[in-house]
Amino acid sequence: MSPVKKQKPLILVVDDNAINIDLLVNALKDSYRLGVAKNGQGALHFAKKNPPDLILLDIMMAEMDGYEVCQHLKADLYTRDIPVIFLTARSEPEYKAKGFSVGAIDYITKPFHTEEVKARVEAHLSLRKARDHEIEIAAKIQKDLLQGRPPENVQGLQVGLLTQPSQKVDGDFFDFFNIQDQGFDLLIGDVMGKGITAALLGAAMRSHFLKVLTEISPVTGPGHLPEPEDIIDRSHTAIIDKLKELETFVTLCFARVDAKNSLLSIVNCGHMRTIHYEADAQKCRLIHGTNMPFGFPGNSPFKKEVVSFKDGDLFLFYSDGLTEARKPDGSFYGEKRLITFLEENAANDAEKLVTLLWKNIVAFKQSEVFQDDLTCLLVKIDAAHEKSKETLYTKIEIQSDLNELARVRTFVNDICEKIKDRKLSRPVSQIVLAANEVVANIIKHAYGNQPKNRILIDAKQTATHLSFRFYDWGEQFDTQSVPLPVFDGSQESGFGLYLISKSVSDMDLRTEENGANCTTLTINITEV
Amino acid sequence: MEIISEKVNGITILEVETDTLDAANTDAFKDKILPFLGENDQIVLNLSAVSFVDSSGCGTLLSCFNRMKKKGGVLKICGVQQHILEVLDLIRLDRIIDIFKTRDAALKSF
Repeated sequence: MSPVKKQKPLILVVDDNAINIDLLVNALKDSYRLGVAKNGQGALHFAKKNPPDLILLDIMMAEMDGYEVCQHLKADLYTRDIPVIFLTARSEPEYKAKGFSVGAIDYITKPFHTEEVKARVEAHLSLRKARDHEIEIAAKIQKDLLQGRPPENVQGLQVGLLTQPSQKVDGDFFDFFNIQDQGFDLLIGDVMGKGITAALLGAAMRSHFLKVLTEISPVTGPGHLPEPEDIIDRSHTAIIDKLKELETFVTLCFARVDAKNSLLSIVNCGHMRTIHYEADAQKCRLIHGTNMPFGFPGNSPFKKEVVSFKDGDLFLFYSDGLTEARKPDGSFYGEKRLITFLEENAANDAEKLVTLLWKNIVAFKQSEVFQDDLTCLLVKIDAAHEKSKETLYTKIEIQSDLNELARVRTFVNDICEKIKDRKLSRPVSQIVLAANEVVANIIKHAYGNQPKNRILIDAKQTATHLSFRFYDWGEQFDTQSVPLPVFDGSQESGFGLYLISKSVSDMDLRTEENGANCTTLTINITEV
Repeated sequence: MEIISEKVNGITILEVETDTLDAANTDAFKDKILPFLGENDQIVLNLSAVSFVDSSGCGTLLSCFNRMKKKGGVLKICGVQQHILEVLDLIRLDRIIDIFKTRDAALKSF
């Protein structure tokens, strides 16, 4: 993506006197972009819609005077960081003092010299620039360091990520947690307001979630993820006082994508509606959030929505920077256009889709310069997803009799032959040999050659593994106690375990809770 | 399981008439082959009918070889299918016993 071009700073001149406006505009027009407002209301409206880098504000105006304008500016999250220089005919110290007390950074008395105005504006802008630069670097570093990485190799799911930082730091954040074989959690959010506070708070939100997850996980135990609404509840409790203190709030959306059960659980707290493209209907539907943003009291209990999905479905999570991207004529990109885009392009894979989306937005906006951060996470349910599910083969039961070995070999051989469209990492003959050795070991050692004992064998296949499990109810076998065989010809037995280890990708032996010994042979599978 | 013997130029060729040599039949195999080992000094074991050998089978082959070596005789093997050869390689049997692709090659080596 191309680097962002810096524009000239924007100065807002606020005065109800046409002559003063002319003077100031003439003095500043060569070096700056200029906005003009002839009264307080106009100034506030302008500043909010198009935040300037500096405001030159006349004090004595009809209706709303400069002090009041300044107070309004300082009370608003969007405008409170804009430097204000007062222009006034009053030079008494108490007027000046009042100006500083409402938040101005400087004070120029009329009649003014244009050179002085230019020098002061420039001095304050460069001061501000230097300060902003340092803090922006700090905020950007913090943001980048904590930037979430999209999960890779999650079975049945593709993730596309589109981020475009704006010219100013702001409060978009996202992260991925609890990444597993067949699913993950994602978090996307936006801190209200712009600037350093928002950026740092965005970074802080992510570490808060991480902290909550580490605290909560031992309670739920391994393999059991905490519920999304509990994660949200705890994170909210942890941060609400801080948000109140900073007089800000955060919209966010936490989603758990579970490809194993084809379910998306989502807790949306005032964030943009998640778009769900349904491949069957070739239409998008919106997942509405019912919770208030973080920072609002009385939010708990948080409500979770659960949506089922199918192959080819898409979920799009995004920040308002996307839909609020504007054309030069001021019109927004909007949710409707986004939905149309997804419905027309859903067949592409996730990465391609976000690239196309980026091109679509830039073409609409006719610019790659963004006022707001643009963040967009796209999750696509892989069409190959069905294949990644587990296949369980019919199990067989045999007696503890060495004459049963032939049946074991046929069973293993037949299953290996079924996996034709994929590639086993080991030759079938070796897999058959390993299975033979396991069963022979069980009969000879676990059952001490005693007949009429049971051995149960099953097989399981996923996208990446084929495994055979052998259950017996005999003596436990400690593989560690078996010495490595000697290969000088003097030793005529004891090669079994060694042959197994050389013939499969992995061997595992454990005792189940019901007392059965379970030997598992795993063979890796690669796509042809 | 049958073992058919044939004598060529004083060398005994033993055709092993079984498709597997595993833990289930190694005892039967030993019973059948021991008399031949006792009566002959130069033996070629033809395994071309065998399509599966497990660790017990390997152990038995090694045991036969050692028995011959002990009494000053020779035992060589021929006709081993490729996937079985890989198993024998794994436990380095190929470094101890002379293994030949064909019966003729084994006979010529004496």
